[in-house]
Amino acid sequence: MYGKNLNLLALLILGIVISQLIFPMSVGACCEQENESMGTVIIATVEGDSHTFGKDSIAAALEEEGFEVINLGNGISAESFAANAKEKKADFVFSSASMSTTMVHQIQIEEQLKATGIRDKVITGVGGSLVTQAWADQIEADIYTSGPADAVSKANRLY
Amino acid sequence: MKWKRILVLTVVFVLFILISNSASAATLYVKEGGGTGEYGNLQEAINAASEGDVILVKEGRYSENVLVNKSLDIIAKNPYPNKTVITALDPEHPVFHVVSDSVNISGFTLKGAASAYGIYLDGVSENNISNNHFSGNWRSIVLRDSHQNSLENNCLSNSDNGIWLESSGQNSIKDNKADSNHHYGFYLNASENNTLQNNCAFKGAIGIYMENSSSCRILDSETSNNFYGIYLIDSGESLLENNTANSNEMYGIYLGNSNGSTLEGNIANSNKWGIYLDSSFNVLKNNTMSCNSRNFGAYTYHYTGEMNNTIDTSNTVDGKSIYYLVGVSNQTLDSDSDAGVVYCINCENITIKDLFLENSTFGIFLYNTQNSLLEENNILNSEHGIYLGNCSLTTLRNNDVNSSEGDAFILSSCRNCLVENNNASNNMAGIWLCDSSKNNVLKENTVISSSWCSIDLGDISCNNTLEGNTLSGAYEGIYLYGTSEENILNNNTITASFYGLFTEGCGNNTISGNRISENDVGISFNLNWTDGENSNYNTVYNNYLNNSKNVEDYGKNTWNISKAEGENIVGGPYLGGNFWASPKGDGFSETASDEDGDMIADLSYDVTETNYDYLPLVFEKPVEKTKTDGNKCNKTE
Repeated sequence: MYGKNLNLLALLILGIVISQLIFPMSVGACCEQENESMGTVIIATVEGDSHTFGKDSIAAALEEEGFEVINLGNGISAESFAANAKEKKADFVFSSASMSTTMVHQIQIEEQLKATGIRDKVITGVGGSLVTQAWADQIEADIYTSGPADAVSKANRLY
Repeated sequence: MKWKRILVLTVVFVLFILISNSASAATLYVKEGGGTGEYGNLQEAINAASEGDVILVKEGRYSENVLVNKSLDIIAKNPYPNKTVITALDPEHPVFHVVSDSVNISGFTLKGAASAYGIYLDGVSENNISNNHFSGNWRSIVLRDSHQNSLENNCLSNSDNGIWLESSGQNSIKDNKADSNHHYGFYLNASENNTLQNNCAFKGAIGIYMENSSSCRILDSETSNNFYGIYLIDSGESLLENNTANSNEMYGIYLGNSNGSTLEGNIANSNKWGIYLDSSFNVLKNNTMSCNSRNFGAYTYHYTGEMNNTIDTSNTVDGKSIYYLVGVSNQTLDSDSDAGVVYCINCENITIKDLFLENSTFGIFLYNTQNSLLEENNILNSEHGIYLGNCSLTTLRNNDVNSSEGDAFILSSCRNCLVENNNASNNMAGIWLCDSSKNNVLKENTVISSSWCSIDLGDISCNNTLEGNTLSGAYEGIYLYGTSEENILNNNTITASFYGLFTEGCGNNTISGNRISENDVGISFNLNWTDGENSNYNTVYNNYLNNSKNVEDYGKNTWNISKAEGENIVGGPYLGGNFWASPKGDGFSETASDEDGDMIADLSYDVTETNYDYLPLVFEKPVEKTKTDGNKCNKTE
């Protein structure tokens, strides 16, 4: 009984040794893979808007999920969104607008990303107290996010 | 002889000139696939053409990016644009890139410039773009540094944007229809003195958008079923006349920092906001707003800029007149006025009473207005009910405000105002004092069913008195924040809320004589997490507290005064601390011993681990008849 198991153990060890020879992977490499970023996110509140709570909550949730989050702060112009997205090679551009008069800047962000030539390279997300799925659809944002959990779920699905 | 020779030479020269001229107006033909005497594509024809030539394009499907560097008429031969279709060969370049003046392009369907433009007028003038159909482009027609062009009767659909102007002035944009574009129907940036007339914009994010584009005219146009109808920002001295903006999700017409504009004869129906001004020195005449969630609005709270508009009563909301009074004194507006909304800017001694107002951003808006009375008004379904900004010595009495999206009553930077006997129900908040409102009295108001708070004081609103108010059914009955100190909260009844009183970083208030019961938490003194300011040195005495949890105190506060003669809140002969009850009837004050019968407990009450009520009140014990002596009553033990 024991002899049979010992034979199996020897075969298992042999298999591991052979697989290591064929597919070498260090422990460090393995860990590197685990720590690899899920993607780079540019996030900010739009120009003329100082509401930060929702945006910061989403930023924290995405960071927790493993995304590399670059939080530009609040009152950020569309040009700055696009320039940073291009410079950082962002995968996502999230904007938050919580006023009826600042939501219009989310259109400008879409326009500016296109003008910069990177609209097809990023996934855009919009949020804010008056922002709706219908608004996101209208301006062709890729993601409407109602909150942190929603942002994480949709970002994971699309990335 | 010599004269004859000169005459002959002159005639020959003139004939040469005439022949030359007639040769410059040649007509070149383009036909799909080419043919005898016909070019196979537009660019070949343009390359071969001379200034002033006409290029007639026969119906067909062409795939090109065309550079127009000569003054030409490029006309589709078939009058139906869908018969002559030019698709961008490279979607990252315009279908037509025009770099010459005096070019006419007419009668085409232009599409497929998904990352570029249908027609790009690049630093040119006197061009005429007419009768074309555009679809599937990033921007259908773009003018950059281009002036005095005419864009007429074009259909712009299913693109990101319709007509887009940057740094382009004195253009005429008439009879164009923008439909189902994702972003803007018409977009103007840094483009002054353009005329947009009789255009339509449907089903876009914004119908007509102007930014930093002054002295433009938008006339006889319709912007409906967009998110925003007509939206101007930093575009002063504009004229909006006879436009219709209906059924837009947000604003029908919005002016932000676009001073000195005139709005006349516009109709804005069935939008969220009909016409909204964040601008000054505007003139509004004969504008009609109906069936909007908020028919008319101007400014928001905290706004302190100029509000000097000329808006007469020919402007109507749901058929009633807008009263926009500036610098008026000694006037009464009552139900005979048929007012639909009232603004008083820099006024004195105004009486507004017996009005029924609904569906506006503010029912009544007073700014820098003194010695006035607002009485017996009824305001329904507005964003906010009554707003007082920078007002003093003004009284709000017996007004009803119901079902507002925001606050029923707002006092911003107000002093010495009286808010008395008003009712507010089903609003987000009842009465809000903000922006250093001081020395106001809020007395005997009833606020019920607020989704947020019944009364809130913030932004250093100090020395106010809240007395005898009945507050019920809110998240916070009274909410103090932003270093609002030295207020007196006296004899209020607060019930059925999550917090009876909640403070963030507010101290030195006196809270006495209040009945705070049936709330989840009675009184909660908290730190302001943003600036670290705590709620300290409040004095709390003679309150009746009967809540699931009576107190949270994260500061250092005083829960009794020195024992003094005077009837307390439960009928006892002395003032001291508070009455601590519980919904089960076993609260400290309900069970504590009172050996000396002064109706103050023998032992102090531990409010928290570090705050104590040293003189907690107790009930007078119920009396009951004894069997031995039916005529005498004894205290029960």
